[in-house]
Amino acid sequence: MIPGLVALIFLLVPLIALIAQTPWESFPKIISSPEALEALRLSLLTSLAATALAAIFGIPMAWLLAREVLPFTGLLRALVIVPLLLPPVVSGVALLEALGRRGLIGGFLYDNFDITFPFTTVGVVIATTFVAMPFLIITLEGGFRSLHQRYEDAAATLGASPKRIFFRVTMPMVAPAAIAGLVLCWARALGEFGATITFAGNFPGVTQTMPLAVYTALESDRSVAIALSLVLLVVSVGVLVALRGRYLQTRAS
Amino acid sequence: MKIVANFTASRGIFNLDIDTTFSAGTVTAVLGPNGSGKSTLLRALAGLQTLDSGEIVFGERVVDAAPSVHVSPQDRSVGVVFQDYSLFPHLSVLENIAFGPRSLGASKKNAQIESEAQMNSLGITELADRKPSQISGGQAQRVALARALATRPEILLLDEPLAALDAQTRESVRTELDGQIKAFAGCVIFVTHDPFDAMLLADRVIVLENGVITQEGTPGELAARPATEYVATLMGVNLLRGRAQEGVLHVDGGGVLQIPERSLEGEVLAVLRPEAITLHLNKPEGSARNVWEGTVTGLAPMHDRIRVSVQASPSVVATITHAALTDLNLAVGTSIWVSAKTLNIEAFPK
Amino acid sequence: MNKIIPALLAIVVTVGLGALFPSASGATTKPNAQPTVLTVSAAASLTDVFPVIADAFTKRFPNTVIKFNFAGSSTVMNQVIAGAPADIIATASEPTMQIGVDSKQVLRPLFFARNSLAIAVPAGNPANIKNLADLQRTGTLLGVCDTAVPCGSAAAQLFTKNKLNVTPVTRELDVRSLLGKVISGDLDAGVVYATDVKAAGSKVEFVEIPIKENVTTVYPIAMVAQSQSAVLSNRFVNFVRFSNTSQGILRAFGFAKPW
Repeated sequence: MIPGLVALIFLLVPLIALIAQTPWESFPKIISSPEALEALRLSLLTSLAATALAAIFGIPMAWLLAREVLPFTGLLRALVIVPLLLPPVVSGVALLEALGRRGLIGGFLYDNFDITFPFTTVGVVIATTFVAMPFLIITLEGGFRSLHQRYEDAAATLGASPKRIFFRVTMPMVAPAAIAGLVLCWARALGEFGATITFAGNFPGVTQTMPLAVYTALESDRSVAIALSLVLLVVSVGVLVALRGRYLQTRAS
Repeated sequence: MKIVANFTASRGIFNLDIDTTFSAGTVTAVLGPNGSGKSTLLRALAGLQTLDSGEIVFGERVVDAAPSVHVSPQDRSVGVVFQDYSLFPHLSVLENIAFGPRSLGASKKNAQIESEAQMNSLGITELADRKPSQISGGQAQRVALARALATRPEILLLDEPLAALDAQTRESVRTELDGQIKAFAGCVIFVTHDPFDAMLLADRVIVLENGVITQEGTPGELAARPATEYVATLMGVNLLRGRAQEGVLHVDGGGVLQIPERSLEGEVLAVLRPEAITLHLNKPEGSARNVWEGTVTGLAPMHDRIRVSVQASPSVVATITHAALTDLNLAVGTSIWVSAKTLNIEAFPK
Repeated sequence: MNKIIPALLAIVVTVGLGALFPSASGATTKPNAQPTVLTVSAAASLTDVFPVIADAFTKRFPNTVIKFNFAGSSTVMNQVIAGAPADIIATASEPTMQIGVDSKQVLRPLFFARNSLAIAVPAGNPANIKNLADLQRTGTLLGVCDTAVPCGSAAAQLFTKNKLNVTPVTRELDVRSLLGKVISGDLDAGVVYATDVKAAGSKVEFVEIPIKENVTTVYPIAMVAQSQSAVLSNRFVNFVRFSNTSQGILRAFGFAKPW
């Protein structure tokens, strides 16, 4: 019991300290400043875009892994989790090597189509998606796995096309896992820092999301950094509360 | 329509080797122990399992010819009632039943009309708006059947249709199911591990053991002449293998019995019904010509009687009344004399 | 008077050097003593040069171990003010050091080096940058440091001083990540310190900024008030500022004299 309480205190004290240090009198002014609002807007925009991309590409990927359609599924699963374990800065470097202006693919895109990703909002979305998508894939793969194949089989014998099976049977049945995965993915996207600053850079209104704004503010005005951190903390706790019900639901079913 | 199934298929390390036909208007039970390949056979017919070799033909239509032809489940006109029914939990009963017609392109309205007709004929109209979690097992069985029939299939496959039900519901649902599948015009094939279901529902029984068909016939034929120990045990009879010579059966593994058919020669199977066996504490005097000694190895209550397993040459199972059990004061380990009248032993060539 | 000044200077220099460099043998008389550990918190732009200076220092004062903590100037100063264990602090900006002085956490800073700005460009200079004015061209991907860090405020001063109308695409939080993006070719140009260009070697080219257009920054070094090894810390500060060895090393790394 004691070690458990130590863990609790260890995890809570920094959060309490953050709240205790919040400059309440200047708080409204700080968070309503154009810079803060711009960062918040950008964070919401890019994290939601990343979540949407993760949904479009990650959900089918999770299904492929769960149904073991592809060869070497075990290896693929391990590879998909890699961005989750990599230090985000390393992910950013890897993205630069791949999609930078002289990168593997980025070089081709720049030379032929004049497309570049670094220092653009699209770059932020790419970096964020790279880091956050594995959360969705892993969560949802569990959901797909626990869904017995016989429901999909039943739908097939009833004449449903694979597309109809996926959207009318599979997805509704894994909805709790899908929602949990999407929220986790979004929360990770919202907090993304390392890959973003490495790959997309740091410019207010274009690539400077909330975490980057916090880090930038830390160099100049600590109280601004704390106030912005508190906004992120409130969002995280909000997500957690929203998720809690979902998690309990998945356990029960 | 006739179904010709002549194929091999594998699931993991398990191999299934099938060569049989199924006819329209006939209810066929596929009977076998767990892991015998019953479900794989059903999945192959439904198109959910690809074949290693051979073919499956529905009437004139080749639906499987390994490795080139494989008609997907969607295009087979097969209705399947899955074990545990597999009703979609997020859809209402009506939506479950309408799922098939909708998938095949029916308008929402037509699908609903079709579904209501099915619900009406199965007496589940009042369940329309409920979710599968809100209905009983017996009701779920009917919903699953209605869902399978709503696509108007030519073939109806049922995987352990009664296994998910408790003993009491089972009796009544079996009776209903009997009526429902007899009313179905096409082929009905159901899989079961329960001989009662096979006996009561099927016109014809296919016995599957370790992936191969070991016996085919009417329920009566199976009971009278079981081809394997598994069938004999299911039918509740003793099956003895051995060599016959001039009215004497030399049982494999020891023992000699007098049999009525003096003309039989060579390898034979003999059926000895448990109720035809008498047990005695002392060596009996009397008309029974087959008398041998053994040890009680098991006692199991069964309906109003007791099944007594006796280890002897040959080992047999006998059934006795509760009164007899009290009189004989039987326990595991008791030495006992077994007797059987020659006329009660039915021997036939293997 | 004419004779007094040189004489006084001679005394000052003699006494001063005596204080600065007590006989080398004196420092080596305790061979088995526990080494004294000095922790140096320094601006990230000193990452390459300080370990070399430290090697020279420990040769002269054996039984000394020097540990480093490199980060942005503001960060290291914040850490020192927050009580992080450090004996010496060196920043890349005078105002940052002044914060420490004002909060009485650092003692008597000395300027020991100066740095000026240069335009770093990827190998081959693909955007063909020749001077400051070229940075204004549309389509030129220019990177700077954030104004919160010294290289960024220096760049901002540079643009103001030369009335340049530039639109950077990123404000990196330290020089090295900015330089990294120039080296990788994702930026056409980055305004960085001359020392950083020197450190990157052949991976990056640079365009010099003429002295009268340029902005320079001075590097102060000081002992942290709470240092547990005040004597040795003071020696290190003086060594960095006054020794020919240290100043020679600083020149080699692209730093200019601060005086």
